[in-house]
Amino acid sequence: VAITGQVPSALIGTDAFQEVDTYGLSLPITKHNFLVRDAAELLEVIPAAFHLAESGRPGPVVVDVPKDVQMQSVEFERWPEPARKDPPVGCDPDDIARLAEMIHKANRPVLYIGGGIITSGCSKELRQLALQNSIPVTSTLMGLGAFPAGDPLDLGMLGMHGSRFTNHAIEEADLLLALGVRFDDRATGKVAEFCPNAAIAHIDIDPAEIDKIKTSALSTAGDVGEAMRQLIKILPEDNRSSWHARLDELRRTYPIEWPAPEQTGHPLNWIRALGERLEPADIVTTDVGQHQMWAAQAYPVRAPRTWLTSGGLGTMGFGLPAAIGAALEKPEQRTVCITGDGSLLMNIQELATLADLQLPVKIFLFNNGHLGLVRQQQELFYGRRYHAVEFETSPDFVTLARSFGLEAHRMKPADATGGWLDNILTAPGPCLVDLPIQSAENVFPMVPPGGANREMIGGEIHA
Amino acid sequence: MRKPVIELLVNNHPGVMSHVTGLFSRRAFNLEGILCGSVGDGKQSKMFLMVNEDRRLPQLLKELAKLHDVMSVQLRHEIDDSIFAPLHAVM
Repeated sequence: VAITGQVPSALIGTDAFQEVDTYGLSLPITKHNFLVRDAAELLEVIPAAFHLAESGRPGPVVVDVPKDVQMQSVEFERWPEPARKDPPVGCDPDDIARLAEMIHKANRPVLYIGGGIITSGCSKELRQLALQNSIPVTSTLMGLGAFPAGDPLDLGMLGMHGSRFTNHAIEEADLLLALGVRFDDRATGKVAEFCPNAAIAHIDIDPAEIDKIKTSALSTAGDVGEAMRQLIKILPEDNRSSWHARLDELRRTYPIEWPAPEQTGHPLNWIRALGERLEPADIVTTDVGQHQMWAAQAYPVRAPRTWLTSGGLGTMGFGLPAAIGAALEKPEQRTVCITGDGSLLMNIQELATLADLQLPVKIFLFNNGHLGLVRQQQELFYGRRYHAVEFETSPDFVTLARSFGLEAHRMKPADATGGWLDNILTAPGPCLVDLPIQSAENVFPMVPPGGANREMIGGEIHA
Repeated sequence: MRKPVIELLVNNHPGVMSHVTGLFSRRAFNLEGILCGSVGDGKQSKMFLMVNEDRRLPQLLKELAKLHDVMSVQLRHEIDDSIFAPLHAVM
């Protein structure tokens, strides 16, 4: 909930000093917004704003308050009750019974899960459901952490930068259990060719997501946690040995090719070095770009709400403020911000906030002097006609961070091994680490924009 | 050819029209005509929206229903789009 200040009511519409139509400006990018015309309205508007922001599918709410309303006095009997979010909505038992039957009859079911699982707080139910019927789980970028990375049933992330194994595995599914997902184009690739042999069962809190992109054989709009609790009670156990044998075969055919350990300074090796040292409860935030995709591919997210990233909107600049927020909420846990030079520059002023608050945020800056994901697209799909992707002027981020009074270090590729990383991660307080990255490094595999998920380029095993 | 008419019951305040028309424009959906007037004690309004036949119409109805100030959404097949005809006299 953002409460914003507006010019006095009498000046609205006169192009007053610093007047901007915050209501109109925020309308398409919020769940709802309010322009308050009288202080008495605040008694209803403020609880309504929090109720709206938290209920159902959560979303941002703006309350714009003109200056005269801010200064106005109002008398009232009692304070309004603080807002409570709506209780979770259950699903029709008949739908759940049909869903159990569909799963029971399916030979190659896959759980396709997303951020809705994390919002609903039902990771335990997801694990129970997957284990009970031996259903493998693939996750979207926003769903990472909902199901523990490295679990035998974990297929990893699907989609544009998912692994070859994952995208080929879900292609063979005959039933797609789409839980808390919205069939985002980065996950599905070419929609018409996404899981072509699978019937779809879709559960999401937002009715407008049902059948928006893919028509489902069975769907219900409700809380996915409630749905899973209902489903677990009636779903029989199954070990699905032939489906898992086939998945093992695919795993051998399409192994993930990690860079060799001696390729020190390879971004995936930096990420893996972080993953080996951070605990499951430590929080990782990212910005948007290549570093984000490398982190999604190689960082083992093992618990819900430990992976904070900007998915659908891909808002560069998200990582540092998100890390500050996470560290304020969970000061006892370590918070790591994985970022890129392009993204960090979007909210570089927050280094001052970090220095003010002295929070234990460690910033790992994957610095290639480029807007790398766009550079990669220009290389692969636009005939290497590079435009506006290289920073002609790049700040010295170490000096910059130090000028805010922050500890900062520049690492060399050879530093990828050694104790310095442990020292930084165990030291108190904030720190920025500048990691030089080869600008020619690409994120692979990659599904070409508009292509089907099976048409991945790069990332093959080199025999 | 008759065009579908959507009837909305909405909270009557100055921002409602922006929310409704904003939804149409950002979802790339054509809005052919609007009739609007307050009902009852003036706290609510009814809006009649003339649209084109479109396979995305069910999706649009779901999006309209999600707007906080929209109380109800109905596709009024029985309403003739001739309710918009008097507009021609002034245009």
